[in-house]
Amino acid sequence: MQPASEEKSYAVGIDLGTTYSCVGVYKDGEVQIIANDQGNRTTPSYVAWTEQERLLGDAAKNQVASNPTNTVFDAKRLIGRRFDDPIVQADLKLWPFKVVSDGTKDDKPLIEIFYQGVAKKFHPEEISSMILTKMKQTAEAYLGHRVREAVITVPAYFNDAQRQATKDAGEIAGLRVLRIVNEPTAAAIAYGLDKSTSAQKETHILVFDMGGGTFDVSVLAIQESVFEVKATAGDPHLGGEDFDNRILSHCIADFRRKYQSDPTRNQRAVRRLRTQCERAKRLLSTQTSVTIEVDSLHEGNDFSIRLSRAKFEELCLDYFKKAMEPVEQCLKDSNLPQKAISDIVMVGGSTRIPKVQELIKAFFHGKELCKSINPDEAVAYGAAVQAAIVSGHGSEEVQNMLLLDVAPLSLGIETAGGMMQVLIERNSTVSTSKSQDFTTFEDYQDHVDISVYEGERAMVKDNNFLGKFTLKDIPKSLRGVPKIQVTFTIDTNGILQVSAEDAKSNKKSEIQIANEKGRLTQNDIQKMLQEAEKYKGEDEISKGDMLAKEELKVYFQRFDKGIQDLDASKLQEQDRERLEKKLADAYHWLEHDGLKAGKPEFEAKQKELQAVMNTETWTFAGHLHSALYRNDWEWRAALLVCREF
Amino acid sequence: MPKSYYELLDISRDATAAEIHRAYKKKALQHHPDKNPGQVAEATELFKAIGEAYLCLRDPAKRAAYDYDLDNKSTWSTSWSSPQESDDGFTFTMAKD
Repeated sequence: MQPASEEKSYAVGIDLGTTYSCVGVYKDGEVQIIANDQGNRTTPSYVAWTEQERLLGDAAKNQVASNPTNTVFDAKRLIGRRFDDPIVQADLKLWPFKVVSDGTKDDKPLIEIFYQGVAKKFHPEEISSMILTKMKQTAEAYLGHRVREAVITVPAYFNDAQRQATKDAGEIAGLRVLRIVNEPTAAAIAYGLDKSTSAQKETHILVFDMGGGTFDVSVLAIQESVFEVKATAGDPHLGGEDFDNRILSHCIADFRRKYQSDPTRNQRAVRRLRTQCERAKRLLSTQTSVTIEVDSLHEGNDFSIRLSRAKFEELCLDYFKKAMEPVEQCLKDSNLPQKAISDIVMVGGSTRIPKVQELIKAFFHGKELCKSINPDEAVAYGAAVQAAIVSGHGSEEVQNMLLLDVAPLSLGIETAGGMMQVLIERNSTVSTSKSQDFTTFEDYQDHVDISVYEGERAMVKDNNFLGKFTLKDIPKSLRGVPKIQVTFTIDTNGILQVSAEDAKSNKKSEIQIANEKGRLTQNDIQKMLQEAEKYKGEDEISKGDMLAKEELKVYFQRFDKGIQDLDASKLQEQDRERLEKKLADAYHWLEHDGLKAGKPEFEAKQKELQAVMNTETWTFAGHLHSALYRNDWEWRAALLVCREF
Repeated sequence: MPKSYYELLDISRDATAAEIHRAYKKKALQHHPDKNPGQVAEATELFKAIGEAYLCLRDPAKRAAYDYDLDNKSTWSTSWSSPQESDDGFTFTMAKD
């Protein structure tokens, strides 16, 4: 890269989706959504390992049916969760790739794949980082400059651990994560820029964001250039894939009934069927019925079923209805009547489903939905604008914009009797901090344990445990005397930091919460960063290696053919034997040592064989030799020349 | 003595809800850390203080309690702890282990 390119660097916005990702950049006063090397403006969030190499994006998704166990997707459904999380356990059954626990007390999930004969395990953060790397490369190819900084979006309803893990994924990909932004908020920016932002009057909008794996609802107030999130609600595990699964189960049940055989253990069959189910779901948004067909699905049986839109809606109706609850919750939390909402902005691929549109329209008494923004690109668009704001690259219009986002869940600590004492209420604008004083429970108590939780329930056992830390060496005194100040701070990324301080001794103790809850340590991240760099190098090296190896194989074949094609009159028996022995040795080397060898070794081997020939005295050696380097046509011609001798 | 919530938002004691809201947005735009890249730490503190003031004053019940404390010069204001829990700061005891 040239020195000039080193200096100039862009900040991009990346929508890291469960099923698809999208990247945008603010350039020359406008946002550009960047197409990948396949010409697609969204890239599948897929990573695959074939026998030779690692594939990302479209290349990975396209080969999924032939390589199901080594093709990883849905990392977003694992990120920031524990292996024993019921959601992870349920998802496990549907994934063709293997997920195991790391076996520590943190119980982190690891994705296991086989690459070049060796089992390799990856954290979900690493898989996400590979997808982020792909998006980064897509942007770099377009801009012709390095990309070092990014704004990454997460579902508004992602919890602390999931946000941290996403930020870590960015770091592993070698990106400085300028900000973690909530997806519906990013979409609102896209909407707000689309409309005129100079409106004096405050308007309220509701963003309904249903994608491949997650679902969010946010209510925002927009006035002039200030975007204030009033409330947010959602379900971090509801989206298009759940609908695909329902269709899939329906098809499998039908197959069982028709053929009395169960295809579920046949990963390849399930994967092929799933692809068709996803396709059918998409088609049902524009047509009223569709045929799902897979030839020779399982045990030679063809599968075909007619699926109507009505049947699809029936299969998924409970999901669709469930999606209305956060809408109601969000309106309630924002203290706004339905009629105060001036626009309902639909974002995410699943909002194309007619029934989803119908239900939300009915909820708002027939109000028309806003479909002016691209549901697949709006989030990346908003993220790109936010990247320009934070990095200071945007135009004046953008620089004047301000985003006031909220924390989606209440945060607090455990107090006597297992009660939850909330310090930061949900829907508080970030960044925010809040302190409260606590004291000891017993005489001469010299330490306190502080357990941090998130959630809305009164008892901590019903909420989500985030972490625990101990404030030690409190000067001994009677109970109730020490004054311990606990401070919660949520930064602009929605990430929590907790500290406790004893007023008398000024003893301070603090944690970045997710450290405690299975978060990767800085060491882990450094290690993975190096690994990722190595991978990047490996990818490039392995390309060179593979070419050299292939060339050597072709050389062998031609060499072999050359010997076989010559009859006894042209090649003496003892020479033939010696050459065949040489060739057999070389083949043996290729199959054994060759597995670990690189380009230099392959090239050396080829030279070695050349040398063998050069020492031979037969007159046709020259013809044979040169033939090895020409195309087939010349090769045959050379052989003919040999025979004439 | 730190500034009162009214001073922070630069509004009068009898400001209406709409005035409070407008003042908050104006101040937020002015002091948000994103708008003050040179002094992120100071801006963050100020922004948080403004947010806290807004959170209290926009809620009529909390505002009434705060006004009462302000008039009666209570001692809560030594920390950021919120005024509605103004009982000496020791709100409850800590669970042991």
